[in-house]
Amino acid sequence: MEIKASLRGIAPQTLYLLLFLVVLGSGYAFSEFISTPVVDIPFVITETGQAVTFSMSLGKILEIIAWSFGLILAGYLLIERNLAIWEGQGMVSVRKKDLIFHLFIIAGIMIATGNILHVYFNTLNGMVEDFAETSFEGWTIFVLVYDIDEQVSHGLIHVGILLLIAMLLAAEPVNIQGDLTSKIAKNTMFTMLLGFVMGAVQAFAALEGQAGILVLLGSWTIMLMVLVVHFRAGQRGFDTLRLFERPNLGFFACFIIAATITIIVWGLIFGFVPAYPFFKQPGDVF
Amino acid sequence: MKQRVDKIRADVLVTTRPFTRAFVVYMIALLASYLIVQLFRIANVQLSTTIWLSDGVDSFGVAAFPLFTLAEIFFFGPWMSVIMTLCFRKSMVFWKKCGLMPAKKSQILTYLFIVSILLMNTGLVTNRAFNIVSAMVKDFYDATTLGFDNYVFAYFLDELVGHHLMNAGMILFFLVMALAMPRDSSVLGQPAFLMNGGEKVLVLVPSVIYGVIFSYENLEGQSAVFSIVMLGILAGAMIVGIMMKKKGYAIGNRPFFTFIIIQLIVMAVFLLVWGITLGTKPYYPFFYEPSELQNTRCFHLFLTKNQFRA
Repeated sequence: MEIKASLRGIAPQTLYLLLFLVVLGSGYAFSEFISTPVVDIPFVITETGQAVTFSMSLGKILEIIAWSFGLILAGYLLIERNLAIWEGQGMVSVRKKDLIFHLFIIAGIMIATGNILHVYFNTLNGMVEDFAETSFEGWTIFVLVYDIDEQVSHGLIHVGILLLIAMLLAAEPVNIQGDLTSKIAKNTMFTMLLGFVMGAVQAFAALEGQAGILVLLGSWTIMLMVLVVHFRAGQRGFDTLRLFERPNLGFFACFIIAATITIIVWGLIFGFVPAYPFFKQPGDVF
Repeated sequence: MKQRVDKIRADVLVTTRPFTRAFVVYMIALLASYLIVQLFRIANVQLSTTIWLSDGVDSFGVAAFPLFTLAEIFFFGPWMSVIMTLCFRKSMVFWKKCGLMPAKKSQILTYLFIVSILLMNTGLVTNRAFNIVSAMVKDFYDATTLGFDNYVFAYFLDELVGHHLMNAGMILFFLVMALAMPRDSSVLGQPAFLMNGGEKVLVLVPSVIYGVIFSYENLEGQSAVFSIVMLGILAGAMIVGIMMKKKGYAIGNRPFFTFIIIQLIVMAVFLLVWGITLGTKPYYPFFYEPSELQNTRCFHLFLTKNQFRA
């Protein structure tokens, strides 16, 4: 009842943002906390006729379902609901909607493929690292698997999430009318809080996934684009950039502040490495 | 000016009906992707990248990817997805403008479309990435007898998970495109929606050709049984769905539905011939893979079987 009461007055699109973050969090939770039971799938290697078994923990399978499919559907729901509000007021053209849908599909592909690659290659990485020292061939396999697991897959996931957030921002028209009401302010405060939390959590996840620099560059590129769009629309001023009247922009502003501070402070305290990803992984430090 | 543009467009384009155009665009893009990818295969270039390995290793290493595989991932994945999104959106907008796309149906189809794209891409990436790793791990195992588990893991994801997800995604996309058209066949009898003879050829010929390619790929990907069952269920469900309207099927005016039916027929014939000629296996995937024919043991089996028959 208390939860229901505290959520009263929060706009539905803000609740969809919350749903998106819950699904995002559940992906982490599944992979971190559910290591048993293990799902065994027997099959036959058709070329040789050998009967063998493929094994994977249920948590990893749930992570794939949560992130590769659930997260993208939640993201679509979030963007679609935001678009529907402005479409109802005749402020979204078919062309803009098409473009957002195309870019959303690209973001979805990046998140889904990044996640599925990460889940599988992370498991395989643990299996092949024992052979890295045995021979040159063993080392070559290890480096390839390591690269896809640590750098390619995480990079895809984080850039995909940023692109999805960018689509959320793009769904909102630049010139919105109306006054700052207490309801809008309450929504924005709530999304700002979510932004701070997600910014800090994603920064740590990106540091661990060797994608800290990508999150930093990606999020500031989006911010720069937002500023340019509003500068042009606001007749060489930032009149249209009213953070408290734009819950999604408020969310992103707090996200970028939290993520930037976390990544920079982490780098300053624990030092840097001589090549990409430039920042040390939390797993290496602790 | 606009009239001139419209005339040129009418002269140049084979069809102006968006649902036929969507089918033709999809087919041309798929064909183009196959051709472009073959160019990368001929070039046979490796893309190497130097990376920093942390996690206690703390040294540099070189990861090498075949450019051909990256091209396959790009052209059959994101590139085709953009084309498919274009076909889907154009189709949806057209039927919406005609007042034949209820909001609920549009919403459900959009969700299914997103799932189909995700299935196709995750399957493709899993298949292609583990195809490289599986070969490397197999060579390593053959040379050292170490890491059989790694081979089993990579083989399963490459051969079974990858192909099945990918084909499930593609079949779901065909279904979404077929369902985007109105269920009521009498609507499709209107002159604006009737496909002419040329358009029907445009649908039939690629459907047969792609049916053969799809069957061959499914045999190689060990997913032929899965795909034919899926296609059969979808075609059956759609026939029942349309039948309930009691206004005929209008199959000739439904490009993607025709495509599904032809795929199903071609695949059934292909598998029947393949199975009778080469025999079957007692375990899933039941059929021999085309690449197994290069294997002398399998070829020997094939010869022995035919000699026995003779």
